[in-house]
This record gives sequence, C-alpha cells and structure tokens, in this order.
Amino acid sequence: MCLHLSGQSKFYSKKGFISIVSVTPVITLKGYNKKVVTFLDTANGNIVFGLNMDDFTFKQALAEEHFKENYVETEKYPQAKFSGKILNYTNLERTPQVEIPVEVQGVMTIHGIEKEITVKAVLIFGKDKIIARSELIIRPEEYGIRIPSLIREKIAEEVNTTVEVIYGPYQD
Amino acid sequence: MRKPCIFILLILITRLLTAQTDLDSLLNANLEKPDIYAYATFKATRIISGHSIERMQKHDLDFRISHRFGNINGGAYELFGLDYSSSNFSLEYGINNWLMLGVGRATYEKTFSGFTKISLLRQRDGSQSFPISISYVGGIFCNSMKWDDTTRTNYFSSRLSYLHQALIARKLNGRISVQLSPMMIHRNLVEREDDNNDIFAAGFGGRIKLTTRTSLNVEYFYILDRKNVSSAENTNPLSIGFDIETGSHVFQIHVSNAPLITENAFIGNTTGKWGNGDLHIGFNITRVFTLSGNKNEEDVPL
Repeated sequence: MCLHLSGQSKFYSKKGFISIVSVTPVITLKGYNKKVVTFLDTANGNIVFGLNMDDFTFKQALAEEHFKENYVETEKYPQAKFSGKILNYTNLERTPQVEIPVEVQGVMTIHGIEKEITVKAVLIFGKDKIIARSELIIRPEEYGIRIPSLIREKIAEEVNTTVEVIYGPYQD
Repeated sequence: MRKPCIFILLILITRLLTAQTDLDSLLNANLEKPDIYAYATFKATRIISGHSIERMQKHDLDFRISHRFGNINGGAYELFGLDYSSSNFSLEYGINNWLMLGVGRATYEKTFSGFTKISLLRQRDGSQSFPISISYVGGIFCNSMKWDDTTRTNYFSSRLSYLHQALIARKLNGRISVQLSPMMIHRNLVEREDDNNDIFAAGFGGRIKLTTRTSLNVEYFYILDRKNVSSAENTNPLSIGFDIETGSHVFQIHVSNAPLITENAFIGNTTGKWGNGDLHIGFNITRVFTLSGNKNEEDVPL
C-alpha cells in the first residue's frame, strides 16, 4: 500500500513558464520559455526543472540570437536544470486554495555551471493540481556568462526570473 | 510477521534514496529536443559582398555602409589603396519573418539599387527536420550616370540590370556554415555587340566561427563564359574576410580582388588577379535598429 501511494505522488508539467527580464536605463530585454518540464514528488518535496535554452523567445529577434549565440551558448550548453527539494515539505499544512510560502533548495545548472541556491516560492494546492510560483534573481556572471564592457549598459547584472507552473498528476 | 515489515522498510529506504535520481531521469526522458529553425547561419546579411541566407528579422532595420579601397600593390604612396574608395550605402528592412527589402546607392555608375530576399525553406531540427535553407534574391540596378553619347537615342531601360539569385545554405554546426548561390544577371545594355546580356555565375561561400563574436568568411564567384561579358579581361571574384560582431553592429573587413560592392558591379567588372597582388581592402559596417520596441509584450499565460 505504501508503495502504491508513492507511485501516485508525482506531479508534473511540460508547459511550465519561465520569464527572464533584464532592465537597464538603456533597454528592457524580456524572454520567455513556455516549454519548461518539471516534476514534483509530493511524497518528499523533491522537485526538478529542465528546459531547452533554444525554446526561449524574445520580442527583439536580435536579442534572442545574441542570448543564444553569445551568452548562454546553446550549442555547447543546450539545457538548464534545477534539482532540489522543497524544505520542510512533509510538515507543510496544505490548506487548499491558499498561497503557502515555501523555500526551495537545490542545485541550479546554467551554462554548464552548477550552483547551490535557495529561493522563496509559493504553492497553491487545488483539486488534482498544484500551482507553484517563484521569483528569483539570476546573476549571469555567477554562471560564467561574461558580458563585455561594451554591452554592459544594455544587459543587467541581475536578471529577474519568474517561474510559474500548474502541476497535474503524473501517471507512470 | 517481522520479516515482511523489514522487507517493506528496506524497499522504502531504497526508494527514498533513489527518489531524486528517479525525478532526474523522468525529467531527462520528458525533455525533448527543441523544434526550431536554424538561426545565425551567418552573422550578417552578406557573406562578404554577396548575399548570405540571413534576413533582417521582422521590423528590424539595417543601415549598411560598405567601402572598397584601391589596389594594395599601389604601395605606401597610395597608402595601400586607401587613397581611393568606392562605396555603397543601403537601408534594409525585415517586413515579416520571410521577406526583406532593401534600397541602396553605390558610387559605381552612380547606381541606385533595390532588392528583395524571400525565405522559401528553412533548415530545421526536431520532429519536422529539414537539412537546408533556401532563399531567393531578386535585385534591380539603375545606372544614373549622364549619357556618354547624347546624339543617339538613349532609352531609360538601357540603364537597368537585374539579379536573380538562389541561396542554398546549411549550418553544419555551431561554427561552420556553407552556402551555394547560383545566380543570373541580366543587363539591358552591354558594351559590345557580341557580349551576352545574361551572365551566369555560381557563388560559393562559407564561414568558420573563431570565437562567439568573430568569424572567418570566404566567398568565391565562378563566372561562366567570362570572355563574352565585357571587353576587359574578367576574373572570378575571391574574397576572404572577418566578421566582428559587437551587439547590434557587425564589422566585416576583408581582402578581395573585386573593387566593387554590388552584384551588377563585381560580377563581370572584376579584373584583378590574386596572383598579381591586385587586391583591395574593404569593409562593411552594419547597424541594426530594432523598431518593434518593447510594447505589446506577449505576457504571462497564468
């Protein structure tokens, strides 16, 4: 019976949404990815995210090309991942339809570089679905993404990142 | 009674230990390869002088300035050719994601030009993969010089020549791209009676990226039936250059035996030979302006 429960405990989405926004006085650059794959195991709070860098779309075509070619280098590092867990998940009071603040800790991999991070997020438990939302800041330099001084004024040192996912039950 | 309990406990522990790798493998299994068109096959819309498969994207405007200098073998007295120059200015615009238009003006024969580049097929990875990109370029050139001989009847149509070109390109990998560009130029008026009005040529081009922001480019045009093109002894243009990209600018600097910039000019009017050192330094500068702006952003789906 225990085994059976853990088999049904996985939630997932293949349409997770992540937006990245860089704001400088010169220009606002915004990209988004609507094809984020993510799994959440409600038995233990383990959570993983994965996406293809090539699935990012920008309003400005040239910015998109440079993002892929010059900065994240999709050819060399096609994917970004996060693997971690929601802290204290099993003791969480899961009141339905209420925003429940949580902390997520794990390893982020961007541009081939792994980094331990802790971010704040909220969860909303619904009927047969879980909504997760988080805002975090990513500093390209921490992932070995070098921005030349010539372009420095156009790309922010802190990229505001928003994650939004509606999880549904996963059948093995 | 005790044994099955320990057994179940053992299974539970191993399951907990493998839980994370479990999710990771699930993730990897569900993360499919992106289904996207090849992009950045070349850094600019020209390989060197001839068109590359690249277009201006929708609502992007490119301002291009090109110069070709005199003969390098003029020596220090001529500052290696920099005392002379021929130029072309153009404005080129992406109407949508398959069509671009451009207008230009060159010093050679005071030529006004216009062209359109249309994407027909695009290289693509993923479920609907396709190995190459194909585009069509159509161009028109208008010589605006005063007539040499005003005593005879001069027609406006005599000023015009046309370009039809197919671009067939493949981005082999992140560093290497190649392109084949067969072309035809039709001239309404030719120099000698025996000259062909139509010139057929085959263009070959390629690039190797040296760093994320620089590449080495090569371009060669093989002209068919060269002796019936003009009175001067024609040669095939061969150019070697570098692209240096800095955000919205691309600098293209190169050496070529062709001293002219537009197709109607460098095909059929190139007489220099690499073997004799009849080479010219040249550059193109492109500046892209994104006109679509930041408004009407497509926003969060939730």
